[in-house]
Amino acid sequence: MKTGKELEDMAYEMRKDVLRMAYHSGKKGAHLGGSLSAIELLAVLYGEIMHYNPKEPLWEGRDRFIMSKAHGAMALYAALKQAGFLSEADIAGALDGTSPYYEHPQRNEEKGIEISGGSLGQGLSLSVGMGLAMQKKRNGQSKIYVMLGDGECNEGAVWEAAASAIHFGLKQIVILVDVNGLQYGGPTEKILRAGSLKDRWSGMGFSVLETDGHNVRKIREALLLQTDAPKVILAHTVKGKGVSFAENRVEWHSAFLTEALYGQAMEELGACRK
Amino acid sequence: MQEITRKNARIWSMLGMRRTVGILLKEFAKEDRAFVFATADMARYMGAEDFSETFPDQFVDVGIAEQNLIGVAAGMQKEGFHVFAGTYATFLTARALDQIRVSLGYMKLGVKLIGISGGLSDGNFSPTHMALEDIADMRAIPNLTVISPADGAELVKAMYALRAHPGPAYLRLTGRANTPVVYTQEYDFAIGRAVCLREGRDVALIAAGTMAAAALNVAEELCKSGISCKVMNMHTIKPLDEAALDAIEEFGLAVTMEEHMRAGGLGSAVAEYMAQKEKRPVQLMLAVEDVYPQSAEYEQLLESCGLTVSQMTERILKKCRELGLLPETTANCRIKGERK
Repeated sequence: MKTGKELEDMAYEMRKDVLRMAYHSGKKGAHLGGSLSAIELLAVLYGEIMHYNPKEPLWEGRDRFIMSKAHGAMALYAALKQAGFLSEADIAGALDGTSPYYEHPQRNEEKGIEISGGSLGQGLSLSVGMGLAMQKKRNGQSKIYVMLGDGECNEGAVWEAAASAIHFGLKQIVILVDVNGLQYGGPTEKILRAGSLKDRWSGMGFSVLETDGHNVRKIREALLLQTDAPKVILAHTVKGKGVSFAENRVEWHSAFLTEALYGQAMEELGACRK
Repeated sequence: MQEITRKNARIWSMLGMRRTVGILLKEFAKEDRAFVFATADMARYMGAEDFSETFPDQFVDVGIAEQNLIGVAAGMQKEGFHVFAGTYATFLTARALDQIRVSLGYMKLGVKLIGISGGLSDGNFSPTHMALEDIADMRAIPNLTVISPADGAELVKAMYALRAHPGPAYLRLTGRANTPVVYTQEYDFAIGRAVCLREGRDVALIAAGTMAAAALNVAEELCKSGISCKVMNMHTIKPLDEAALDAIEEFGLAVTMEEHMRAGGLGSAVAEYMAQKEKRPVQLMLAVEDVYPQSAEYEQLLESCGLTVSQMTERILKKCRELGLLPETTANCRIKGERK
């Protein structure tokens, strides 16, 4: 088992990689905010919880990770580097216009990318299909971790899929909602009031846990907890976490990192580690 | 394998494509443990009411949730299952269009989609149940094969061919029970290769689905006016059989016939290819003219859309007159080697 410090160190490295990718993506900008909010969740998943083998990427017994909020691609790429699927060169070139590592990830199972994403509200349906397949294949070992955004929960298809996950009793599915409170056009509560996300999920039959999505120990605890029903972790996070000018700022959903801002962001990250 | 005999053809015709497909789904489930039939509450309508009891491990019903149907089917396919997903053609293709686009088109997951009640056949339920844009929607998606079989026998052929086809596909079922029979004996079916149902030299009739049987009747009618028609069953709308279209470039008139909006259907597919050719026939597109027809029984709907055999014959005759294609004698419309 990794120490909390080791997972925090991993998160730190991932944040730096996300900033590098955002910076190198050039003028068009990159989805910085929603990548930075998901870092600790991915660090704990890939650093400790999930079973996988980059040397045998299609190993049947692997756990699957589905990035349904696919604009968090940079966070996924950073995690896949830590996990040994992507190289330093992959990260250096990601999002540059010629790289296969797009602004939204494209399916590449050899590299640990299970599905193509970008059109929201589809990852959970695919996960339900995968979960059903595992049930039928008698694969009782693999888990499917699906990451949704709270903005993504606007999509009706999420709730069709959620109902079927419960109906088919798919306990191997673990849903992580990155509740950063912001979406493209503004605060999630202002764009489309969700009421209580907790009540919504639990009303459908899920076991719902709420946690601090930047506290690696608490995330780990939530992921390890056994529940009676398929689990939903509502992870409360800060969009743009770790970079002062981007934190909780809707314009940093997707924006351009200048050289000066990049320097400032890297410095802030380093300062936090001292 | 279900054999094409007169007797089987009669049974499939009686059942209609919608219920014939249920027989095949059960047969596939028996033959292949990895075969899965997925639906959105439409198993009974597809003649597969007993599927869930006979093959509980190979059946998935997601309820009335077509978007989820596609995601679930694609997820299972990704994990190694062979998934056929079926429900109403229009709900399947229009409501879940983006899911089809991403999971089947972009990700190339080889799910086979079965759209029942393609065209006007369930128009008595109102325009919501008419599938009149499905071909346009499906054939615009890269990597997707689109097939509309002419009758029950061809449906059987198409199902087997699709089972062996690795990529994603959309199978459009047309007509009601007692569909007209086109095939009563074995023939060669291949995805992407049109079948010539009748040889001719003046006018080429190009149809898919149950319209192919209508095209044969139209050809017989036009023969009375001395017009020799070639009838092509373009069962695969994508990829289109371009060689078969090259073979009619010398014809004076090509007529496409379909239960689909004029925009984006078989006629459009043919026109897209023919437009770039130096030599090509004039094209008459017989289709639904950019309207939602009033709710009515199937036969009435065909009439209100101008798609009955006599209406189509008249429209083709009129076009032939305009183009100066009417022969002086009515004696010589049949040509050697034609198949009835």
